[in-house]
Amino acid sequence: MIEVEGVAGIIVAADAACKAASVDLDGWESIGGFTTVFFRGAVGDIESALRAGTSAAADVTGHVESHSLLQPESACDNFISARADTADDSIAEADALGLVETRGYGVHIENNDRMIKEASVDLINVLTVHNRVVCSLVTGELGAVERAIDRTRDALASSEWFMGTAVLSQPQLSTLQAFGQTPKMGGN
Amino acid sequence: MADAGMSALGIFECRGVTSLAAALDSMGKAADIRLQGRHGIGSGWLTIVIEGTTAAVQSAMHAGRQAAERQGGELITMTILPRPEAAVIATMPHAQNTLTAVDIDSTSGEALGWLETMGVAPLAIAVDRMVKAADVELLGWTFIGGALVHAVIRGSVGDVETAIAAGAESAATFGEPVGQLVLEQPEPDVFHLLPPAKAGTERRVGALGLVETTGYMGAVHGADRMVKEAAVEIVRLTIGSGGRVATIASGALDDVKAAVSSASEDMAQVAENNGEALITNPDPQVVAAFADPPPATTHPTGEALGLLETRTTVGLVSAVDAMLKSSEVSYEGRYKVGYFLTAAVIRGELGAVNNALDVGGRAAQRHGELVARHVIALPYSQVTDRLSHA
Repeated sequence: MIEVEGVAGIIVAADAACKAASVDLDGWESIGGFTTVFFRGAVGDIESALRAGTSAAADVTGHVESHSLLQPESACDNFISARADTADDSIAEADALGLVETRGYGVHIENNDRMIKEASVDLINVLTVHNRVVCSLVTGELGAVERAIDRTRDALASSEWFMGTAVLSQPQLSTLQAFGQTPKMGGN
Repeated sequence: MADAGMSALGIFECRGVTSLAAALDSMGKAADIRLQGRHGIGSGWLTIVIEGTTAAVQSAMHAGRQAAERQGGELITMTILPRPEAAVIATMPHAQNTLTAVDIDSTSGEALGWLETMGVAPLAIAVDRMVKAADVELLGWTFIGGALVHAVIRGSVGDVETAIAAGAESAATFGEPVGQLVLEQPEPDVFHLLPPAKAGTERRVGALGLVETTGYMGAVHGADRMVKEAAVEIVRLTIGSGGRVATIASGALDDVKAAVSSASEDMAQVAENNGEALITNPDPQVVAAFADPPPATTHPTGEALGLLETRTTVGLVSAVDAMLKSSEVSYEGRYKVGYFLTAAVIRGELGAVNNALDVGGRAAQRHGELVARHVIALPYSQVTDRLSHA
């Protein structure tokens, strides 16, 4: 389990963890603006995955907490609202994944429109995770995603509501599918 | 959008629903625009997206801004997007939120009124006052994050004005209401901003009592106190967002009064007490909106109940795992109440629950922030039955 503020951090963490060791992405959960990603595997693999994931997340956002459980009780599965095994499998492999995270929703409509017009990228999801945190996910060729994220930073980085961006090269398909779905989070 | 070259989107985001509704109504009255969608992201931040020709969207946004400013609204984003990538924007959350069909005929010539408060206690008091002060129908109430809640009423212009003024006065005993608004002959699109219809059954009760707290543990503790203090029925534990939870009881006036006063006093020892409300002879519409049907029977249950609340998921999962491994207890469910708070409930023999909470509390402290742990030795079924497992 790795928990961070916002959701971009756990997307980066999930991808780094799954690349670092042979672990399965179980899914993720959000409470009030903190999100947690869960993965499962052999003890040694989980330790490597946690190290890689927390270190990658720290580059993007405030790291909150991480921990591993040995032979977890089955009740622990109840905590995963967005399960990887119900993920949207229509989402295909991509060369790169770009993340834009801010507080506020309106700014994402304008910025997604800009990214799509100025670079050859596809919008795969817009995640709302409580406490005003919104994250847009775009995919495409690495150069195009980098251009889209550069333009985003030019436009938004000075805003008081800006939180961060990230570009992942060769993202894992499981990461794209787990975060390409819109989970049922309750609330409004 | 047949002529994409002439089309534009207007994006309007603000905090609070009264500013948003006032803005949307003015937009529709100022220009020929259509609501494309709406989206709420917590903490009371709401977005509407309108579409029309560039000129229409410009006039509408100007009018919307003025209306929101008259409401004292906190504007977050106001942007006009000419020639949007319509196909892509149609996949975004606001456009995916279904806009409900509205029966406009039944509403023509009438008015809608909004009252918005911080917390459920002032809203419940105000709603009862509104429906008693004038001939108005309560359409429903909801929360939008950050403890902001609102109710909407419908009736003739005069009745709605009278009711909103009376409701605002009642709510003000808790502090100024966040917003109040009366719209005469509201634009049809405004009906898409209404809360879900009240689902309960209208009935008469002697009194409704409400105690509001921050965190799930305090609310469950309050419910236990209420049923043990007096002959009252727990009719709802309602999440009010922003960490707020309100425990609502019904019964004879003297019983409800005693229960509220005892729970309120007692709750202040264990959690933040955000307010209490006592409604004498509540209007049946209010009962339908704030209370579920009473339990058929109530009895002490054999097992103790343990509650553990944290501010991180990692802390709570670690605690639940440790509790189940260390003690003969069963996991009942978990709750998310906003404001980073999350709680788990366990059941078992008193000794096992106490032991589990000790072990779980230490695990939560090591891997996050432990907010509270609490044991109820002999919970009544009418309390445990109200816990909405997720």
